[in-house]
Amino acid sequence: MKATIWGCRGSLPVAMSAATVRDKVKSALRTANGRSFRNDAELERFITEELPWPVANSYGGNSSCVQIDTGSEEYVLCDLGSGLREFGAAAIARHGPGKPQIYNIFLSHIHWDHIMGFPFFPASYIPGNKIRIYSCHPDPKLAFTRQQSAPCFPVDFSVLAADIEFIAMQPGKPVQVAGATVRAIKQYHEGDSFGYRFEKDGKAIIYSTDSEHKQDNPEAAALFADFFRRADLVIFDAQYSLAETVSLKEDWGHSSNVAGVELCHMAQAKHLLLYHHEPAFNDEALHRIFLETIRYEQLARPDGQPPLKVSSAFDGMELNV
Amino acid sequence: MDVRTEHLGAAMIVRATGRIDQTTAPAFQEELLNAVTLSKGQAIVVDMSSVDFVSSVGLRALMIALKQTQSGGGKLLIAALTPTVREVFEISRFDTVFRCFATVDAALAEAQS
Ligand SMILES: [Zn+2]
Ligand SMILES: [Zn+2]
Repeated sequence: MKATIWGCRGSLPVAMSAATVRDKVKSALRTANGRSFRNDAELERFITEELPWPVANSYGGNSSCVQIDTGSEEYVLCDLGSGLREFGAAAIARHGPGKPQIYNIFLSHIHWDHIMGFPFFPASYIPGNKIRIYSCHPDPKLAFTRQQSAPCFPVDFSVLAADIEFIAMQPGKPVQVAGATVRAIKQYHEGDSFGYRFEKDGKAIIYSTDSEHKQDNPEAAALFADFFRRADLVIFDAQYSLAETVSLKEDWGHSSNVAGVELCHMAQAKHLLLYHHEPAFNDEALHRIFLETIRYEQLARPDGQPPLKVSSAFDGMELNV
Repeated sequence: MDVRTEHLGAAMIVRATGRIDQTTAPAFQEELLNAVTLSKGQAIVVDMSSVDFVSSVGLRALMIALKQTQSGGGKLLIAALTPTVREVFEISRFDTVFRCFATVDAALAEAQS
C-alpha cells in the first residue's frame, strides 16, 4: 500500500507569506555563500544535502486529506479537507474528466477542516463518478448539505452530478473496500471522531486524527494499542505539546507527539507519522518538533524493542508500506 | 522507582529515584498528592536528581500536584533535573509550565522567599 499526504494541517489551512519565502531565499543564498552550480543536478544536491530541511522545503498548509493506494483501480481517501482540491486535480489530470472513477472516502468526523475541500472536488460535479462516503456518524450528509447551501456557497449540494452515497459504518464491523479490510475505532473528540485501520497483504496503515489520548486512562490506551498493533504506518494527531494537552488545551480533542510515541511503542508499530499540524507553527517550529520526537522515541523506547521510525507529514509526501 | 517525602524547614521535599513510567507513576502520584495534603500551603520541592526518565504519566502526576498546590495558594518547584529528564521536560514543553531550579538548595531558597 501507499499513503499520500494531500493535506497535513489541522484546524485551518494556512499559506506561506511573501515574507517567509524571502526569508527562505535569503537563508539559502547565505548558505550558498557565492557558490556557483554547473548544472541542475549540482543545484539539487546542494538543496537536498546542504540546506536545512525547513529552508529548502515546507510542510504545506492544506487541511486533512490522505490517499491510501491499495493497488486497486478504486480510490481510497481519508477525510476531505482542503488538500482534496489538489488530489482532485491530480486525479482528473491522470484520467481526463470523461472517464468515471470510484472514490471511497473514510471520514474521521465532520468538523469543517475535514470536509471543506468537498465543494472544490471536480469529480463531484461530473456525472458517472461514484463517491462513497463511509462514516460512523449518524448524519454526515447534513454537514455536507449545510456547507454547500446558500448563503455559504453558490452551488447547492443537491445539484452535484456525481453519484454520491453515504455509507454507515460501525466500530467492530469491518468493511472490504478496494481490496483492503477497513476497521474503525471511536476516538475522544468533541462530537466524536473515528480512526481507521487499513489492512492488505499483511500490511496495515492507521489513520487516527482529531483524537485526544488521556494519560489517566490505561484501558483506553490499551484499546488504541490493540488497534495500532504492529501497524506499518500510524498517521497520528500530534497538534499540541503534551504540556498543553494536560493544561490549557485539555479536552480540546487533540494529542501530542509524546503520546504518539508512547502508544506506538505499546503497539509495537513500525512508523509514526506526526499529522494534523498546528496552523500557528511555521516550518522551523514543526521541524523542531519532528527532531524532538525522534529524540523522545530514543529516550522512551522500551528495552529490547526495535526502533520506531518517526516522520512528520508534509503536503505531497508519499509513504510506501 | 522509589519515592519518599521529608520536611525541611519551611518546605517539603519529595525525592524520587529511578524511572517514572506507566508502572511506577501511580506510586509517584500518590506520594506527591499526599505531600500536597500534608504541606498545608508550605512549598513543595520535587527533587529529581535521581530520576533517570519520566514518561507522560509521570509528567501528568506532576501537573495534577501543581494544580492542587496552586489552588491551595502554595508553590511546587522542580529541582535538579538530570540531563535526560531535562530533555523530556523540553520536548513535552513542561519546562514552560513548571519552575525548575538547578539544585535543591536553589529551589529551597525560592521556597522560603
Ligand atoms: Zn481537525
Ligand atoms: Zn475536529
